[in-house]
Amino acid sequence: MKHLLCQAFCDALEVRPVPVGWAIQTSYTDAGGDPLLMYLVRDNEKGWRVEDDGNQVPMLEACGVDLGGKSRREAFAYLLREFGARFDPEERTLCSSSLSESEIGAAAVRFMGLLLRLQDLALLSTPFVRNAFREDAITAIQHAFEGEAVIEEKGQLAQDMVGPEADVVVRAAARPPVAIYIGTSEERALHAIVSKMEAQAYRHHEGRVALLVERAKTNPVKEKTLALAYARLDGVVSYRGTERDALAKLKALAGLTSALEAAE
Amino acid sequence: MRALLAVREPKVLVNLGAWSIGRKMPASAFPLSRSHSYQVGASWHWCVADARAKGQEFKILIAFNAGKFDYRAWLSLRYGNDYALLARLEHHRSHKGWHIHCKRGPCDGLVRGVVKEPLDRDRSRTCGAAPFEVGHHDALKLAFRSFNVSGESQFSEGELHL
Repeated sequence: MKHLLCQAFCDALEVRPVPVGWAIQTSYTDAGGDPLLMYLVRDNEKGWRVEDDGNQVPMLEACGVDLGGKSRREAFAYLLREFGARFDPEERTLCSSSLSESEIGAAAVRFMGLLLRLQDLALLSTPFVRNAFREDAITAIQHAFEGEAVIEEKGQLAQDMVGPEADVVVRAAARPPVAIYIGTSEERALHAIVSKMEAQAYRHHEGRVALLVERAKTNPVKEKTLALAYARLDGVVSYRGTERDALAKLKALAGLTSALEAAE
Repeated sequence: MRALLAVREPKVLVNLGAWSIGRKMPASAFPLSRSHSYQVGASWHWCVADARAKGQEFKILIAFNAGKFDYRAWLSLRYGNDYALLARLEHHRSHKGWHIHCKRGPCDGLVRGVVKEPLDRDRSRTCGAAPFEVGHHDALKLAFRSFNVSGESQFSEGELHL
């Protein structure tokens, strides 16, 4: 068994020369499918160090993971301590301490553990979470209105409307359409307000505009914008934890009997 | 417009930043959104270019680390303060060698402010195992050819080299 496992781990291992030392490729990949690489870099005449490609921390930050925030900074520092590594802020690289040749093997395995653990932080980044909410909401809306209305993704209330498109437009027969903006950002909430103003004041459409936020309190929309949305839009609906009621409210806005009313 | 068509759309270079090495890239150089950006470290050669096509603004990051045979040219499309990253031409010292990632679907549907999306929305194609021989001039040429950018001749050689 050990032989089989060793073969599985080692067959994927590739070591190639680069000017700074050696590039080591393992069987592990990041969330984007790129191989996780580490480098064995000549540290001084006698020693070596293991370091990453200089992309792991920049990529986390590019995913919206704020390593400067207190909790994430502490988590990051904990991981570095646990795996015996440090982060060079100028070089933007993760690296081990100076190693002798006999220490390289164990240090490389430990370093790969650090790279794998760091991948998990990206999954909790805000854009990923926001996108998951958007996908969940659109799927739920499609199911809720199936057979009762036409669901148009990325649409406008009417052809003559200009400006940012709604995430979803619900069109039920003989009823005004409902444009639903999913509140994944402050910008999207403002888009909903602008769309309502344009429909009402300039185009004189009967269509309705709703904002769907993930949570009532903790969401990316600023308090003032949310207050404006409550005042001006036809509906502001919170989704998580009250999914059934939220969809019922959207059905009511579309002039359809809500699921809750039908059940009652 | 779909992301792949936006990558292929002929673009005109409107600004070409100078090459930089030896200092960390500033956060303002290649923003992804109002709150975050991508920054390479001091060992990387990098520059940022701006291009336009049909009223749309694109930003291109070109960076390489000669010591690690690592190259990246990223193309992003501007939406106000946010950017949608459309494509990444890269070389790593792995079995992939030269390869390109391109987002799937319409540009307006892409998640803005992120580099990578789940694999089903990010197609990747291996471009070959040509050796890594990249200097400043080649780095720009590779990026501009891949992203269909013309007009570099209006910039002097001084801007193309250190």
